[in-house]
Amino acid sequence: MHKRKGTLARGVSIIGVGCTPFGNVLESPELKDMTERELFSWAALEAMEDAGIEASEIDAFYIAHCMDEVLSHQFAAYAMVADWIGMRNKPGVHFETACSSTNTGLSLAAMAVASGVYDIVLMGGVEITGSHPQEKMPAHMREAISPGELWYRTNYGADQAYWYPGGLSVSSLCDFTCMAYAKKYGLSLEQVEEALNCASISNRRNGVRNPLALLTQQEFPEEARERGYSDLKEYMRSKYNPKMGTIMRLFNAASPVDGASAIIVCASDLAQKFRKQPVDYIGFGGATAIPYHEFEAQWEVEKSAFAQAYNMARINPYKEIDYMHVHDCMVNTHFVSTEIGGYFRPGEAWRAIIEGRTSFDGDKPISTTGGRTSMGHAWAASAGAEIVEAVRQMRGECDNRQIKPFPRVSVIQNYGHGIHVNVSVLKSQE
Amino acid sequence: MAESIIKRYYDTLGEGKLLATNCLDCEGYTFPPTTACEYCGSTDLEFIHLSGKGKLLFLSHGVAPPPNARFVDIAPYAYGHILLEEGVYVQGIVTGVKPEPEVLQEIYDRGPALVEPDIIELQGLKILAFKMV
Repeated sequence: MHKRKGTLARGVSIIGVGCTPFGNVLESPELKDMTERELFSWAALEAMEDAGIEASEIDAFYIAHCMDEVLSHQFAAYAMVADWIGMRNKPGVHFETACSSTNTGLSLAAMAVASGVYDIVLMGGVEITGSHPQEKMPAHMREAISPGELWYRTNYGADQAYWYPGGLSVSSLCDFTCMAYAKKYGLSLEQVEEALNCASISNRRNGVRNPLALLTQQEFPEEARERGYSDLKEYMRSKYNPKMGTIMRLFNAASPVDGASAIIVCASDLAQKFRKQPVDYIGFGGATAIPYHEFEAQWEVEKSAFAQAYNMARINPYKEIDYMHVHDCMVNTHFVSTEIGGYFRPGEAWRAIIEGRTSFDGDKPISTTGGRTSMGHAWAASAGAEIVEAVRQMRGECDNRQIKPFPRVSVIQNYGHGIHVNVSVLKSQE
Repeated sequence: MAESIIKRYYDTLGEGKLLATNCLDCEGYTFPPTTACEYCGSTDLEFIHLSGKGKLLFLSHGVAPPPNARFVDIAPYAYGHILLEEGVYVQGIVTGVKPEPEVLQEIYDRGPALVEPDIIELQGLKILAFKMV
């Protein structure tokens, strides 16, 4: 009988993963004319192929689509995809926690399996952020939307009673966190700015090596040289990287993209019969708050999610984590969230980033997808893409961005607007 | 009869006051007010008014054009992280500051400045902003 609250009553493993390229369905040749359901199906069918499983063997599916109503002119996302992934007449549910959706969804899928109700569940997410269907037309006939429109719609996810009507400036959250971090550890704003820029450089270096990161073709040193800068530091503080606030600059922020991701989880006792070596899902935690009245460098909401996840996984974060992805729609998380999550000791991460230790070939790799700045940010799909990446890193499938030795314990942390923080812990089998 | 707390907050702001709740169980202030204490979840609350006076801890700024069209006439505006004297953290627009790099750096270097409420009205809505004193 299951006795300990906050743990899984039955072991859960990841047996298959899939992810589309992340780009723009109006412009990227790889994605041209693709619609929401086709992107989701692409990722889901790829995950089935990866596992060597038929749709008929999967008991249920969960689909995340954050901007379905406000951008994609649809709701009931489950019905849109059921036939397309071969899962007609199976349970299908739409859910979202904004940009942490497919991290949260992995937890939901795991709980469904751990309960014993299902053995195998497919979970995935899709988002198209750069365009919407033309009015009354099928979804392949689209028109671009402006960044202003995208952010206006996205901020539906911010507190609509007080915070948003009060003038919420999302980029200022990065500034406040950076200033609080600088004060706490006696750093100058220039040092923090350098840490931000080095995090962006690392992300770009990783992104160039990720074939799914369509928007990223060139590393920053090369780009700087082409634009006449021999000094990379100078380039990162140039007009090409303008400030968006007191500290944060353009390259420190996410680039919206379109894409989808999918993950299949299975009861661990049944997981060995599939194509790939399973990766165990050993811990997770979620926490929700409107954090506008928290001191920015000590987000209780984030601490809560990490604590739940580590308590379930029974790991010591300071000793056992080989790879961490943090939600880097603003790259301050590379030093703030990694420290809250115990990947670094307090006050140590900023220097490690500047020293290059957090790139894929450093000893403390972060966000080898390229992060949300260089793989791009596809709202409900990105967290899943980041978990897919962790699984592929743990299997040793990441070619020229492969972490060596292959990570055995990986932690993925995501924020959803509003906010919801979800943390997932993965572990390779012996 | 049930009363909208959000309506009451904005009506109160129109009178120049900041509506909060004080928890009768843990004595924590919840601002802006909700139906439950943000610290302990208790619903045993009384409405109070905060002074709105506090310290501006950090100052940033928003972008122009702003995502929220209500602020188009004042963007890019300075946006601050503030600790009220009652111990409540808030964020809000800071009036009377040009959000230029040198100004923001100087304010950061100088350290926390005293602020008080500067309730402004934009397109028919009262908004809690702050000004340095």
